[in-house]
Amino acid sequence: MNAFIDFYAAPPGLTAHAAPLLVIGPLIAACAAALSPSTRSAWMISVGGTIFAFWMALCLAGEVARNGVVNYYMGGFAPPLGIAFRIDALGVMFALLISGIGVMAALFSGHTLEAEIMKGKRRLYQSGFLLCVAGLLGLSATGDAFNAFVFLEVSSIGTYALIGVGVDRRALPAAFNYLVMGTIGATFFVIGVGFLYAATGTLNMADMSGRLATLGDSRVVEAGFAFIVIGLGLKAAMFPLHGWLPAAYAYAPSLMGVFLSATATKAALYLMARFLFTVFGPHLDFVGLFLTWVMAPVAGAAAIICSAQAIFQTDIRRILAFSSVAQVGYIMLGVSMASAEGVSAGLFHLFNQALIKSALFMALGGLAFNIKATKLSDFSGVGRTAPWTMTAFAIGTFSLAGVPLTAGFLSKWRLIEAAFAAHWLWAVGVIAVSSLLGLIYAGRMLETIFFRAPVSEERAGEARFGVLVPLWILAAASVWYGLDASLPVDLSTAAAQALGLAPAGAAP
Amino acid sequence: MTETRSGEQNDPHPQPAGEADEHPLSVLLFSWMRSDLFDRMFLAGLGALCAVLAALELVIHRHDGGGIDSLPVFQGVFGFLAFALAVLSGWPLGRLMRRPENYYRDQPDKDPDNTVEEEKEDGHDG
Amino acid sequence: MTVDRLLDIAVTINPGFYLIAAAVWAVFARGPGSRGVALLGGPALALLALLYAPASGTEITRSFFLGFNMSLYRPDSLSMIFGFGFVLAAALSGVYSLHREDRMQDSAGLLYAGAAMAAVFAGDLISLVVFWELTAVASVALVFARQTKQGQMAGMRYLLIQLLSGLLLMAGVVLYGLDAGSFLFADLGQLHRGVLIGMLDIHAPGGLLILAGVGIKAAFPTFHNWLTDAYPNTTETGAVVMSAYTTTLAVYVLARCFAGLDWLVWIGAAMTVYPVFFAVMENDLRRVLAYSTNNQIGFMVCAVGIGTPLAIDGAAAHAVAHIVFKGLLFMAMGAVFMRTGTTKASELGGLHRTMPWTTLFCLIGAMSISALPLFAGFSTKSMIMTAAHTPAMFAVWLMLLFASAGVLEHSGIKIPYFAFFSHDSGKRPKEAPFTMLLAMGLASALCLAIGIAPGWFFELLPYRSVAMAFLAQDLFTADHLLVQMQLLAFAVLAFVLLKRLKLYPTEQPGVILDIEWLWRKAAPAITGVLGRLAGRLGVWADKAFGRAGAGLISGSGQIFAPDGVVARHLPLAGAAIWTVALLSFVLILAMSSPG
Repeated sequence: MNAFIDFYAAPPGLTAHAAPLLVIGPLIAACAAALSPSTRSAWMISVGGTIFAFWMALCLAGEVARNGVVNYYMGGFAPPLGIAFRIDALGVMFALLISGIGVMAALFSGHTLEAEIMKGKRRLYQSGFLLCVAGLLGLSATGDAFNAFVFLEVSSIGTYALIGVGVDRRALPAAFNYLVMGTIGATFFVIGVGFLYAATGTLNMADMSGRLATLGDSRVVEAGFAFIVIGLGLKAAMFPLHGWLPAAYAYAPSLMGVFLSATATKAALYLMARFLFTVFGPHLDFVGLFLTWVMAPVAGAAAIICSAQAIFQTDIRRILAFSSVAQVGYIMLGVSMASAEGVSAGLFHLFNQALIKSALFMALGGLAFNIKATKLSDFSGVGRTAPWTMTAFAIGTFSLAGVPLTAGFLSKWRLIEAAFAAHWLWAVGVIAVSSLLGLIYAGRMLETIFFRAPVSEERAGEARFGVLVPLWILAAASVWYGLDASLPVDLSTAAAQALGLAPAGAAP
Repeated sequence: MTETRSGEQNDPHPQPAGEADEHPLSVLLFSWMRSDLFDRMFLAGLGALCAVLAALELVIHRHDGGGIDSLPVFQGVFGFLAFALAVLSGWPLGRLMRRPENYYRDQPDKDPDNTVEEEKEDGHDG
Repeated sequence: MTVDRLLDIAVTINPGFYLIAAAVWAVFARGPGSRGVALLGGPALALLALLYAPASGTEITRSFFLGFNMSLYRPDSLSMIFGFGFVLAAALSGVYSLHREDRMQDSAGLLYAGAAMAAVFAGDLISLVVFWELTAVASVALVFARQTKQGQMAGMRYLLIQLLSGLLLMAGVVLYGLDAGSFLFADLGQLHRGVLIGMLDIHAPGGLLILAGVGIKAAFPTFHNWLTDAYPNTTETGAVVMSAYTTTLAVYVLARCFAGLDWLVWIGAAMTVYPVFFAVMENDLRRVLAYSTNNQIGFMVCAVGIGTPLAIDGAAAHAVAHIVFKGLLFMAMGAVFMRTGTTKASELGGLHRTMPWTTLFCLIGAMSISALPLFAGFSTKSMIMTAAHTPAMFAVWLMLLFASAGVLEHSGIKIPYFAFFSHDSGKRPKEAPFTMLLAMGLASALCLAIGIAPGWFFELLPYRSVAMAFLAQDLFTADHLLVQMQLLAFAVLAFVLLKRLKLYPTEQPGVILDIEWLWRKAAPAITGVLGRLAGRLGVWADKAFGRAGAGLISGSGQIFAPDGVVARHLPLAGAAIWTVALLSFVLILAMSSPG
């Protein structure tokens, strides 16, 4: 967080209210976009709203760097009664990530909605997107367990609609599927929160944590824990509860692919880390048992099995979707180590994955104008006709596969280091095997795109300039953070510390 | 060193020596090699060279490790035997390890079953 | 002055980066002039950077990798000689590929050279791994460049093996560096008579992993197959480029990290011997050259294992000379491949009539690799043979001697004989293009220069004084020339006699089984059987679990998809079962945890 210590993005008066504005900004923009006169103005509102949110996130980053935690009480009522926003380094990391990717996705959306969404629905689509952004940002800012549920549902309900609304008919069953699974997840989560409320009498997460510590062995708390982690596991596409994800990502309009792949599962992961480490805490026996005997093996299985599944997909978006599930596995592997190194490596990987996946989906979405293609074989030789788009795609793929000089390499390296430090040699093996598999599907995509002869006469031209700009910003970020990773490393280390995990010993 | 393998007898159109389309440099450097006289001269010259090299050991004192390499003409004999061993082992090893061209089925234009047939015929010839 | 200041900065940049910059240029280069600038200007700049390199042992250290110090440029006498070899290789292959307008191959070749060069001058393990991986990525593009199904499959196999080696190396380096507390060469090892060699301890954590990773790149026995698989499957220029870097870089890393490790003596000796037998049987002449590479790398690995100053000099000198003469042989075979479309011995023969220049250069390469006196291989390999000729290593010496006779067989005689002489295939291809001949001519001149007057070359070696003493006292002495001539002359006599007696195996089409059989034939067969088994199991499990799932779901009120069609298309039922199962498991786990 040192990068933000002298960072004042806004006057103090505004900064003091940055926490609620972070959420309210996109919410107001969502209303405005729905009421706006034209598609174009809706797009501009969308871009403006996300940029505003990103600005607020930057303000918060400065505050958190200076003060550690930002507490904001709505209307000045203190927690047990009032609604509280509580933002620490972890929350700021996610707020920056979500709003930053949000800006990129909003920029991108202006140029692709025409191809993918029916004419009358585009303004509402922007509105839904902003709602989704607001929900996710609220999730990262709130200090209240029940509000977390509300924000989770705000974002999810937006998402269900946005996935199903595209021109691809297969998106409808995918959205329905996601709706059912997501609702089960949310229900489990709220049941778990209910149990915890019954046991502690509070919904504020900080209070809850304090009271849980004095409560001792309680069946109610344990049941609540199980419901919460499984509910969030469903939302985070924790293997084997990921069944909804591949179809939802693959058939959704490309804007949703870009935004969701970078943020949706990540937000659920954020909440899970929040509950595991701050509300419950790894010192509790059942948390430790869960991390070691459920999360770690499941994460390892995801990293290997889903990478293998990705190899055999024929639809290019499904390759990326299965890869996403595998990456969730990596992140959870880091988190399940419950050490400062492991969690920060996992978060670092999460940060990189968000950049990479949004860039990859953006590159594919940018071509949606030119080729109505989803199968990998349809992309044969596209690298020759759309070199700029596909070079960015290639950079993203390299980073995904963990090729040196890219961000993906550094985060895998950190994960391996953390696994060694935790003496989890099997995890090193898992990462190695899964990386190999990752190279195969990455190689397969690149080989088709760059080395095969084009299949059809239909020439896939370059993506539009408005798509290339955010795409190359994301691709360049992947390379930049592969060379100088100090920002994401700082953020993720501070986030791990905010979760109460102190680094073990002095690093070399 | 004319080619004496059985394949040449099956060649319906053996190329005449000293062709018209030959590169002048080839005429200068290599064309004279294509005669029976050169073959015999080459073998004789090589034999003479080997004999001289063996005889030189009487004149030149040779460093050696003191083991069997102190035997006379050790490197010559070793070279001869090593070369012969390497070449002759090609027969049984080839039988054991040679497979038809498209054994791994990586050449789409060739049907592996046909090459199996050819392989068998070759085997009978050899 | 600003110009001086700029030059000061320019010489502190790792010379590999100049080649990498040229690779970037090559991506956009159109037309012969622009390509020429990239292909020749890059190596020229790198050579200048080498000539003006900072004093040996200088370190340009930067700290931007997760807080560890990285040393991007650490020139010393060991890295200089390898860097020199790579510049030569880049320049020669640049000239050789001028005839072929292919920006991707140009760029990949330069990137490959640059990454290898950067790796040689890297001063810490992390940079080394990073550049090493970059060579793997760049080289894969060359295998893919021959756009056939065969080439692509070979490319995938090559990629997998290279990356496996990279992963092993990376894991080893992390373990080793974390244990030792530093990744910098300077902190890890000590100078041996002024040169930093053998700096890693094989018994430390990660040591074995590093050796395994490097071993794959060096094509240790049973890891050698990527080499013989990939080289014959590239384009005519691809094989030339590939033959220069990966294995040579592996020799460098072995010398830097494990010089004096006695296992390497035996591994190297084994590597020299067994390819001889494969090369005798092999029909594809480029694959013969790949086996020959294997065999030559064996000499170097063995020398690195011996680890004396003379042996290290021999390994380095032979590595660089090998780049030149093996490159020359691959160039000649590449010309044949380009003109006739094949390098199968059974389809070639008699090409000297229309390709006399290629024939001549190929013969020079063949004589160099066979270590005929006055040719490059003699000057360099003699150091290794002399270093190995001690009573303690007598068996190793005999193996190397056997391999020397073997080299004469497969590279000295088989390559030129079956391609250019032998039985006339009736093929009358055109002579190779001028630029290819020029590259071959330059390489031939280098072979002769190193062979006839090796003094200038020995000046560049890590232990200069040892090499110069060897040149003055041992190389061109009468008895040394005599024994070498005996070996070669008697071996050629054996060839002529065997040929006369019709005991020389005829060239037959076919593939020779190698270790690749395991993953190209056995593994698919086994997975096929397992797949069929799993298919049966799956049908059975589907029925069994289907019934159990239906029971569970009907219990919870059939919330989803009553029509059954959706249930079949959507994984809802399965996901619900998984959710319930996982929830139950976590509940049981949490409740049974000790209070």
